[in-house]
Amino acid sequence: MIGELYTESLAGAAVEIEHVDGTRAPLEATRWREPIAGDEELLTRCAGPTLDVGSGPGRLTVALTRRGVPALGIDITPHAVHLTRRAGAQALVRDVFGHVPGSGRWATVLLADGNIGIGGDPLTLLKRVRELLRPGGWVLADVAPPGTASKVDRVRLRHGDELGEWFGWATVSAADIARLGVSAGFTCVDHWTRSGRWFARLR
Amino acid sequence: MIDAQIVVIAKEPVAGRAKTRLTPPYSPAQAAQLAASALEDTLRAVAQVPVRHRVLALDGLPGSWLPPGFVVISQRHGGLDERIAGAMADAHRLHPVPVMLIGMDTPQVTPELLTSSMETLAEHDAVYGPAADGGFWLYGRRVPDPATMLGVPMSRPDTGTVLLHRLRRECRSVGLAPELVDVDTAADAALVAAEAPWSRFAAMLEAMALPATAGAER
Repeated sequence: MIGELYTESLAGAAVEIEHVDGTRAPLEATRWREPIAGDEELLTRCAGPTLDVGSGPGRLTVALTRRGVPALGIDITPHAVHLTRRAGAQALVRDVFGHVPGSGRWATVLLADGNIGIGGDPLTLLKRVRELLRPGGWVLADVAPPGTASKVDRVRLRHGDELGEWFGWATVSAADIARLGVSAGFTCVDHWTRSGRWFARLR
Repeated sequence: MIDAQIVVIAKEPVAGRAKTRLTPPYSPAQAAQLAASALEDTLRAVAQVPVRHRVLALDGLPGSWLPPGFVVISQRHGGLDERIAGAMADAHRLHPVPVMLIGMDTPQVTPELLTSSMETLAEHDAVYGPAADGGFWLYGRRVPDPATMLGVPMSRPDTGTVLLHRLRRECRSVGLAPELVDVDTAADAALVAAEAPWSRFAAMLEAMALPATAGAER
């Protein structure tokens, strides 16, 4: 499962992400436990109740909670949700395409750390997230640099001989986010770069 | 249920990137709309084939044109020979069953034609479908071997002959699928639409109502 190997990776195990062509790269999930340069670009723009989709160990959910911004993290990995709660923030084991509390009332939905790739179909994900937002609410997302090719990969996690199931994961370039956002029903889309990261904002 | 897979190799229909050889006479936006129609016709035909797996090897992102039931993988980098060989190898790694690959330029393809081509592949090591322009529109292997495809010169009148020659040398038996016209130019588009008046592609072409003479230029 994604969950078990992701949990091992959060604990520091050398879990890899493997593509269908056989290439592999370290997942290094522990990097999502500490602040990352550029986080402030996202955090300062979360003005009201914020849903952190694919919140992992809860780095951003926790930072928002400490600032007094109401925040809920959702993740499909129970251990990641446990880490978020232990750090003093609210989180639930939820799939973004399943039942999510506060649907239609979130001021901000975060798709940080490449989570716009969840499900391998960013158009469907953005349409879903739009249902979760209140009218006039914002999506804040990490996107890939403009020169990157947008794509959908089939990947799986691997730890030695232990293999997870294949799942879809998308990469969305900053150059494509506007047309994707408009297709999903957003009317206002922009993107910018800071601290080596590219961000997009959709309303 | 046929225990095999169909791979559609396609480019996201974005203006200026897809079916650029239809411009002129069509605008880049119209060419992209025609590409989207052809892709959707192709995918819907594939969706009706009783086959175990359906894979879309895509350059770009999926859109509302993608019907359910497809696994999406990204295309590899390189020339068309490398991308086709890579898509078949990657699909086979995902699902280790025979692979039949088609493109997005034959919207006239029917589920029946695809099903009979899959049956041909079940009786041979390879299946090959020639295109009227000298290329090929369908290529299947019981077990894909990238070496067969790598280095085949693409978009030439002898592309198909080179591939078929290689297949006949490397495989014990090669089955043939019928020849189809693939859409490259506006003249091809008119031919294909006339052949498949039921298709989204034909409806889109008609909606664009190009003066009849323009379709005859090559």
